[in-house]
Amino acid sequence: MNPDVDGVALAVFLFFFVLVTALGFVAARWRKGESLESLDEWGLGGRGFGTFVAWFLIGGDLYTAYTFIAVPALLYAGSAIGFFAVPYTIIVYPIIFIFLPRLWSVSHRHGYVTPADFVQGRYDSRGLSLAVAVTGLLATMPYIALQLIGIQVVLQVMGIGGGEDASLLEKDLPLFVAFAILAAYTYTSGLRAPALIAFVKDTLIYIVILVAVIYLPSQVGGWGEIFGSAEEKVAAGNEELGAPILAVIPDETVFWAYGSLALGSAFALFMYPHSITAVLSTGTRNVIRRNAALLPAYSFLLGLLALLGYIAIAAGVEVEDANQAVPQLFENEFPSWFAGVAFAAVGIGALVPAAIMSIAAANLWTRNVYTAFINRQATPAQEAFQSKVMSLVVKFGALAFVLFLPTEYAIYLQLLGGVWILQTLPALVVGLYTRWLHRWALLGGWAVGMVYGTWVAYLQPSATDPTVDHWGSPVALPPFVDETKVYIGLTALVLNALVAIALTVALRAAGVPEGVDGTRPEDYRADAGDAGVDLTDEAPAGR
Amino acid sequence: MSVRDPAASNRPRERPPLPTATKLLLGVLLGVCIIVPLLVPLYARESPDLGGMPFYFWFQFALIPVVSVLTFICFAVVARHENRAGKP
Repeated sequence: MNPDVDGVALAVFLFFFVLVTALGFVAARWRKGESLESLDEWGLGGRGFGTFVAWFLIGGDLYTAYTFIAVPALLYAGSAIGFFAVPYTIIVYPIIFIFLPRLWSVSHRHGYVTPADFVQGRYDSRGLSLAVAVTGLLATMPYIALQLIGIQVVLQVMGIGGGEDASLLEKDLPLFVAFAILAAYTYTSGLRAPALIAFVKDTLIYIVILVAVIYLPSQVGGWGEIFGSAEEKVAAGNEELGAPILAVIPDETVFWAYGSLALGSAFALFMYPHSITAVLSTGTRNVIRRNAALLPAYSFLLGLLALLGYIAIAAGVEVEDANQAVPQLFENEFPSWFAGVAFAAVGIGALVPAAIMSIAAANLWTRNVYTAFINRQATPAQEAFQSKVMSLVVKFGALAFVLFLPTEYAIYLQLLGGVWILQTLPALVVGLYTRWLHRWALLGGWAVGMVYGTWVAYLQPSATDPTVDHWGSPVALPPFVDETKVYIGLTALVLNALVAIALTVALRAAGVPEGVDGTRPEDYRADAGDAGVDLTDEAPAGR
Repeated sequence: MSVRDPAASNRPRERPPLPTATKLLLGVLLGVCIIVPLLVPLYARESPDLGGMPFYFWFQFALIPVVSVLTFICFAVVARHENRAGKP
């Protein structure tokens, strides 16, 4: 083991890790339903979480460890658009307020577990549903891998896992152990495990960030000094690059990039399978609405965290990999025990979303591939078993990905994941309001959006690193525009929608059958306690 | 609603769509919440700063509680409507 491991920090880290492991296994008995042998129980925690639990669960789910590492890393590196994470996580909640109660209602009335279940019921098309499910799987897998990278960064800064010269076993063993434990309690407890662990995760994160932004600025000379040193670093970086690419405050050349990334990412975020899993686990429609007003507290936290990237500059943190900037700042500036708390916050912060993402991905596999194509008469117990096994497969797939492929691949794929998941918007979100778009037209639009988005993302070189020729940027020039770069996912979505509309007109003129709608208008307004919607313990008093 | 009428559970409860005026109000409030944070030229500037923090940063921080309160108002409006509509 590395001699410069801080024993105190490591002990604190391990303490919290053991604590959440115990919670993860105990969670199987928390708010226990009849049996864990169904997807409603294992995959959606019994569909009965109230406002309080949901606040922690959804917050713990959406604000991942990777976000906590990567957002300040962007600012540390001088990206002009790094702060877009704040408007992005502001506007996502009004958007959730508008759309997700409808999805909640129709899903509860018809027992839908995944977004692709809704698409199947609405459009009567296993092909379109499969496309939505596969998109969700493709987008989620690299996201899980990124959570592992979040843990890896913390382990590296703590000095365990070793440096470049460490053997493969020494380097990756801690990560492997952490993930094996995560896999075990997700298998036994399902969504209840991350729901319970989220309490610890979020509490730690709030404490660490608040202490950091109150304590650290005074250590480095105040906010004026912090922004001043960020300006200096940006100016020096631009001189080296020979062009004004970096900035603290974006100028007019990147206004569209900033706004379109915020808007596109907000739409992508709530369509990710893990977001929908967390939302469908709530007990009433109003739990979602109330939380749309309460969850922005996390966005405030994320903004403060982003500024830690600048504080790291002012504190003189020098790291090769910008992702290590904030963990290194913690190690340099905090006493050992509190650095341990901070590392635990990030490490546990990776476990909650990783668990929910693997559950969401497993549910997609079970409902929209296994039950839809392989075993059409699957019982609830068979479905739960499929999902449990698949949650293991998904996690170890992500682990193999991180261990055997360069880190950049997971980051590129995560960038693509957002672009891809946006292409399910016409089927999923427009479908909540109208069935006007034809099912095959939606499939055509989806295919065009996927191919276009992937291709354009491939063509983008990095503006700051001349060795990167591909997948270098989430923004690109849209067709027929020669100055203003826009988020690729949003451009692809516009193309997708245009194709879907044109094909709908053509298919309708040709009289191609549209399938049978399995839902009724009133289904979209149903609430707990209504016919066909399970009455949960929270429902009568849940307003 | 303390006792559930078994016959009632077999037919959908009356839950009419929101009145147009309410929808309009919600649309305006939520529209403001979504559009204002996207108006980057509005806030991408240095001054006035707040304790050394440029306008660009503190304005975006300030948007968070504002959007939260507006969203909460929307929640209260919808919840009141549905509560009333849900009663016989």
